Amino acid sequence: MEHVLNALDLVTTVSAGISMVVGTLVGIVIGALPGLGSVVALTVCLPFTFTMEQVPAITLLLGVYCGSVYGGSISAILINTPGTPQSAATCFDGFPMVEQGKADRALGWTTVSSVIGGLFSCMVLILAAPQLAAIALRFGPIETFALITMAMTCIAGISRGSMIKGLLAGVVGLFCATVGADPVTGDLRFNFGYFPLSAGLDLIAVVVGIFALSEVFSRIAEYARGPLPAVERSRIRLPSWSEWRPRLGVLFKSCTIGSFVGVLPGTGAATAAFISYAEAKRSSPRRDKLGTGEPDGIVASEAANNAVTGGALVPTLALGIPGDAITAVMMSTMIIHGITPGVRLMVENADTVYACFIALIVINIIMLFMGIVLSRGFTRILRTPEPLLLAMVVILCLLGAYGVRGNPFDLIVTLLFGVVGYLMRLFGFPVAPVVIGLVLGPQFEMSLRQGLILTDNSFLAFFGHPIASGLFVVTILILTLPLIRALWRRRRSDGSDQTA
Amino acid sequence: MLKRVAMGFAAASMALTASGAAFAFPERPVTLIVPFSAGGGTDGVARAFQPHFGEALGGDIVVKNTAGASGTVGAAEAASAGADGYTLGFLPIGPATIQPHLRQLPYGMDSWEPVCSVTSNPVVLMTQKDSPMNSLEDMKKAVGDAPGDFVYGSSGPGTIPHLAMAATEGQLGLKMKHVPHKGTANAMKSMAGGVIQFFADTPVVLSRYDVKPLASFTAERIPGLDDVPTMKEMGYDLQFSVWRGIFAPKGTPAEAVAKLEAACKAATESDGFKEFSAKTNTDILFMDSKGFGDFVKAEFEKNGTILEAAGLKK
Repeated sequence: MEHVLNALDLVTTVSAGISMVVGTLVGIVIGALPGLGSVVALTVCLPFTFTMEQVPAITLLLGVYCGSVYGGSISAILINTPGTPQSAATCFDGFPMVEQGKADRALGWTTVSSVIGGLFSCMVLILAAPQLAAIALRFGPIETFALITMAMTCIAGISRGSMIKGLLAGVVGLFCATVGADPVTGDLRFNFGYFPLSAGLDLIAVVVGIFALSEVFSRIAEYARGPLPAVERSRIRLPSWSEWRPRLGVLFKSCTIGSFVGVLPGTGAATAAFISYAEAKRSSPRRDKLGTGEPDGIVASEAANNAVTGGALVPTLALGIPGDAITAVMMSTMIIHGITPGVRLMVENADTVYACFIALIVINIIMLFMGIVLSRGFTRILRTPEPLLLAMVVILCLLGAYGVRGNPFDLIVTLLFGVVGYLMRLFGFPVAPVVIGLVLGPQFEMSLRQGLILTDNSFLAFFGHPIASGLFVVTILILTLPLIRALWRRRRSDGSDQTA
Repeated sequence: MLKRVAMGFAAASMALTASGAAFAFPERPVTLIVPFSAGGGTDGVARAFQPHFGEALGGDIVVKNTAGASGTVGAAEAASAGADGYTLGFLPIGPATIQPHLRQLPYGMDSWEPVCSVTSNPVVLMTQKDSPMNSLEDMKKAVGDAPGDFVYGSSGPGTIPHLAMAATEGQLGLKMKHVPHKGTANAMKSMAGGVIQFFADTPVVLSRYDVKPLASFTAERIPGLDDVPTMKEMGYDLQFSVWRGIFAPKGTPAEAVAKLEAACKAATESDGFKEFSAKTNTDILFMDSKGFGDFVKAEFEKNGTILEAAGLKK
């Protein structure tokens, strides 16, 4: 309790308050710009933190982090170009809603789901960080491999139209992930003697190209189609309780998935959003409408990706192990400010840790108000003349792709994947599985090969690990249930035919 | 063609300035290429060093992050930049002396005019805090009794944690498995989860995670770790450090290198950088151009030998 009071003192200063508001605002705006994601937003703010006090510096970055994850969904919904890979799954239902003239409602669903997801994971972080960290430790390479295998099934879940095309796109994504240095031996693969390829294909460059640039290309191609329907009221419309009530199950499930995936180091918000979307697609009562502008899709994706924020801080704060690139940047800021993350952080810097907890809750509430205020401006984007809007998107995409690694080669990758994405759309291939393959690929390969080293190249030995075996069984069930269900239905209808 | 014209132009203008009475450098901002992304360890040191370095040099320093392929993309960019002293690489041990052994790169040992070293941290061998092994002798016995059962981790193939452990394995005549990880933090998760038993890295890791040191890869005992014996004391010739330094492209005029070297020395002695070093447990180590050049060459050869013995050299 004493720590909580001390922490309250730390957070309720003017400078901490300003840094939370400014951080959230900067995060939302940068996150909303296509191509500029959480990492860019954090690195832009990083130099300012050097001269700040400890707690304001951390709260600034926390604000930027949470804000950017939420902000990414705004451009995903309004212009079908996810600002960050995390919000790629939000496009599936967000943009169709805009096409139906329901942009205000889509933004409302996103904002509320994001805030609830964020707050839920704060609670998880505060109440169960040490216990969850202990579970994370039980996830060795073999367990991680089993989990990633399960996550792969979401490729099937989100493949709209032809399943074969979706699976093929997933394989292309997995293949793209193998370009570059071999994670175990360091050998170069598929670089064709061309040096820049040895760095591999950058996720952001590919995502920006295949989602955002290809969207620009197809809009140019369909320019004659005319502008999008204008929103009746350029405002946000928060969903009512009667709309919420049937979706509480999806919401709760998505929050849980997001928090848990966040806890496991090396997975991240994009994975969480895809898994959660696939789960909604599998189990939601409105699953048949998913992908056509059904709020369930937005709730699943947004609650999950924002729930990752608190989850990813569990291993960061409890073990000193950053869950992703974003928490790694935050950790280095703590180190510069004289805080040593790691197993002794909770004991040695309890006040600061509690201050982080309180700040996270406050930031999520700030986000709600900002979403309401800012959406007035955001929906105006839809009234921007299309050529102007598309030109801006192209510039931002290239800026974002270059900004991640400062490597000019990434610009070529973005343009190429823009063309690839356009062709895929033209021929009815879903583009999301490519991104899922690329997101999960490195983890999939690394954990499999680490596991094989440990078991002396025996894959059978993987089944000796109970957690892994459990996950494998679930994976098989997820894959075969639709088949079993279909068979069951056919048999029942056969039976009824005979009696008739 | 355009590049050749530009280089010719640069050479001509350099000849003009050099023939003048005083060598005017720097006349415009100097770019310091960090071959890793913003927010990482090397980036943090470079950005803390930047203002003091700029002040001592009497000009502006711009840090540019070019990440990818274990730092080799950024190093290649620095190596191929105009040799005028306006583009420098802030490189750690890996891209400078390890990666060139592992793969074909557009640069090598001969691509540089070493300017100075900035930091250097020792490396220690460590195991889980609750491990029954308390010394190098314990480790030698336990691992020797069960060859191939123990596992050491690393932060990736061809990193210093990998090289130090591979060399230890060779010198102590032990047989272990190597499980590479993506970065030290992930390896530490495996250590806490019992997947790996041994790891080698800088002492700052000791303060962050539940691990204990068994031996240090240094010539003398590390201040603050006075009870930890050195490999040398135990009779093994194993010395490793994680260092970072500034490299200019080959052919950079000696006057420019001299000015940069002097500014580097002043910056490593500045109060601001010292304060950063104390906060982040980064040990400052300045070596001048000549000394650093010899050191880098020795490191390059040593690492090449280890990689060859480990079967990694291409």
